Amino acid sequence: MDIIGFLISWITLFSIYSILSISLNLEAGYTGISNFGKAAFYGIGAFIAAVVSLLAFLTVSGLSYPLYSLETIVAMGTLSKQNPVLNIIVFLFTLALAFVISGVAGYLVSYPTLRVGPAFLGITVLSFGELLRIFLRNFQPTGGTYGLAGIPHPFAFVQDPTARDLAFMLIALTLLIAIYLFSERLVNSPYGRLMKSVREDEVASLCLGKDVPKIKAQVLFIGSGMAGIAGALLAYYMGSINPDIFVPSLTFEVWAMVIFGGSANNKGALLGAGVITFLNRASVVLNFMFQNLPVDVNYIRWMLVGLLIVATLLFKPEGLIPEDTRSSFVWSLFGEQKTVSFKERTEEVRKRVKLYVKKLISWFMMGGE
Amino acid sequence: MSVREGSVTGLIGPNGSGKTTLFNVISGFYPPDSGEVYFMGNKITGLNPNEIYNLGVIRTFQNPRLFPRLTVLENLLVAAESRGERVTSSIAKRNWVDGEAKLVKKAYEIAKSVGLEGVERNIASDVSGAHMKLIETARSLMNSPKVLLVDEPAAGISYSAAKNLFNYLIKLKEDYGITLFIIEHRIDILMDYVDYVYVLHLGKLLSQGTPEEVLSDKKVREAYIGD
Repeated sequence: MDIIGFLISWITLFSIYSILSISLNLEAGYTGISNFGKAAFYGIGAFIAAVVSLLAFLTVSGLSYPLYSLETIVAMGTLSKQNPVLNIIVFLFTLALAFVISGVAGYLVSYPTLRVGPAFLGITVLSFGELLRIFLRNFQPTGGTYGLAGIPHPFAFVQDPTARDLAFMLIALTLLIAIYLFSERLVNSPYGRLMKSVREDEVASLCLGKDVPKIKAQVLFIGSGMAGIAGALLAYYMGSINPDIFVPSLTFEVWAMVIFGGSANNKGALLGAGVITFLNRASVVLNFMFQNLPVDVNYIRWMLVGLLIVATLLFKPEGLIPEDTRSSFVWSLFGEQKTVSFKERTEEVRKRVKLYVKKLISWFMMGGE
Repeated sequence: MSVREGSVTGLIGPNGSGKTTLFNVISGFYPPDSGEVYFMGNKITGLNPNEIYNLGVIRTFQNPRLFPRLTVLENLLVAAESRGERVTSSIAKRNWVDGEAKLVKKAYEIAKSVGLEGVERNIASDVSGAHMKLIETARSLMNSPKVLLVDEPAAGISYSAAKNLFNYLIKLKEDYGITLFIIEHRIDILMDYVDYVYVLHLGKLLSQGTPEEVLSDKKVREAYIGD
């Protein structure tokens, strides 16, 4: 088995999904916006990257094939290897464009519902995502149900496929780190406190002079923009995309990451993304290794994800790494932060594990009630 | 009805007489069915609650509406205005760290003077009911109010704590020139502090005047005792 290949693909997917889960965490975990349409903004980013990069390459070479045609795919095979500078420029430009357009879409779609409760917004973006997907399935210029292929890999000029994937993985990982640091700074600032106040009580926050609809709009812009970046990365990574990748279940996979890892904690979002993308990748490998199984491993993966959510909600509803309300940045201003020694920490973990094992056993003894 | 600048005005009335509704209208939560609200000569009817707050008209809630999963200190800090509350300036710590340190100092002072000393670091949902009331009042003082609409500050706290709280409010009024408009059911405490009282009954203004005048008004006694 190709361990290196597995690790590269896992880390790349982990980076893409982590960007998604961090963006959802900003919206749902910190600000209390139930965004059930993550897949839509992810999809917008992917399609922006695909359409703009294909158009750019075709225009530069003076070709005028339709974007989805076989000629394009064949032409892109050679075009994408000729001009490394163009590859990189188009890649960076589309990332920025995906951020802006997805962000604006997130803002516009949620605008009518900013002044009402979270459920309205959730349903509105969920249905927007489905409408967009169905529209794209029937929209011929972007290939309808077949989608677009031949998306130029930013490192297509690199000969060795492993080196190419490794370079892409590093880019994705760098973006993830940048987005993670940005989010950490945002939530550990007075703005983060504002986000939490909106989550805790919108009315009280409004009453204390905060422009709640504006805060929600800003968070949605940032969150949707980040999802757009993730989508663009996915498009370049896969090389081809179609509307049916961006089904609502993808949104709920990201929700599962946030619920499992721990909402209102960016480390939790990373952990959730790590575990679930690992299951995702492992199921692909297992499916390939054991082809004579009576069931498809992919179904088992979905069952595992469901089981993870149920188990988390039963035993640790706040997630594996819960929000640390007492670690507020305010205390660090005064140097009052308490330092915990390694020994104390391991002791704490040991106690917790013991408690959960006990809980699990008693749960089974009670017949799963 | 009018509240004179720099005065302590009371608003009393039996349950359901519309006291909190009046506060909701003033602070922009409910649109009035008729009539208008003026603040220092400017019409404020139809403004959003956050705009009215930023003008300096600040209300507290009868049932404290705290941010339960934030610490007591953070509950106070949300009420203040910080430079770091803009997305762009929140990213670089040096933009807001000095202002924030000042706000924290102010919050500690206010917490101490309303009687919240020692609970600043607790999670708001963990403190006692009386403390929650105090947080609600303390929070309203964070952004240098001009008018405070205080909805039953003494409900659910002990007599001596209520006295302390009222003394503190009066002191604030004298130090910073804050106008106070207070709803209170505990008339025994309220009457020692107010200059002028309005009495509401079933949504109508029943009586007004100095505490002595109102207390000797027969209509008021009837509305309260019902005979």
